[in-house]
Amino acid sequence: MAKSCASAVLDAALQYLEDNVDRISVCEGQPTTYEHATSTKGVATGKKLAMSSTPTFTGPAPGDGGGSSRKTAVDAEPTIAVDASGSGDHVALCKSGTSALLYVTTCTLQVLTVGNTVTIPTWDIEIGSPT
Amino acid sequence: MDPKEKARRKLEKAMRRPVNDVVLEVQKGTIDINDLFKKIEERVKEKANG
Repeated sequence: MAKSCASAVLDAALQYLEDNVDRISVCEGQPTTYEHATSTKGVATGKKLAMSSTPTFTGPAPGDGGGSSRKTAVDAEPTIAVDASGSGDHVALCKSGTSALLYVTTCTLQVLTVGNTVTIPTWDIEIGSPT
Repeated sequence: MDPKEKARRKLEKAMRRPVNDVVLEVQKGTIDINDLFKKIEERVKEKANG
């Protein structure tokens, strides 16, 4: 049975991120709650090593996967102050108003040192078309 | 996002200064919606079977 999904449906999901995400954080270990993603490592269950409140997006646009796939670019987040030393291996997007963890992805493990800065280059979130 | 808020955030980013800056390499996040369609089909079959 063939499946299809209009680009507008996928765009709505990506636009939701752009309209709601106001925190981007680098975490040590996978955050599964808002608290994990936004509380500093060493405080309660925090896994956050660095966080910025200035995330911006560019998109949505056609995805790389063809069909009706769509993607949005999370703009580069330069020189975020590192709040706790550790090994950053996840990046999380959150909405502070409702304390919601909205999106998590992985990054190549990097050792971060408190007092230094970390840059998150631009990266894409893509929703593939159904097959 | 409100264009003014987006501009404010971009300006704030531009004003930061690096200190022994480390650049991450983030993996692209691809969402596969086929799983979602499968779930919908399963739920429809469940409903049809009572």
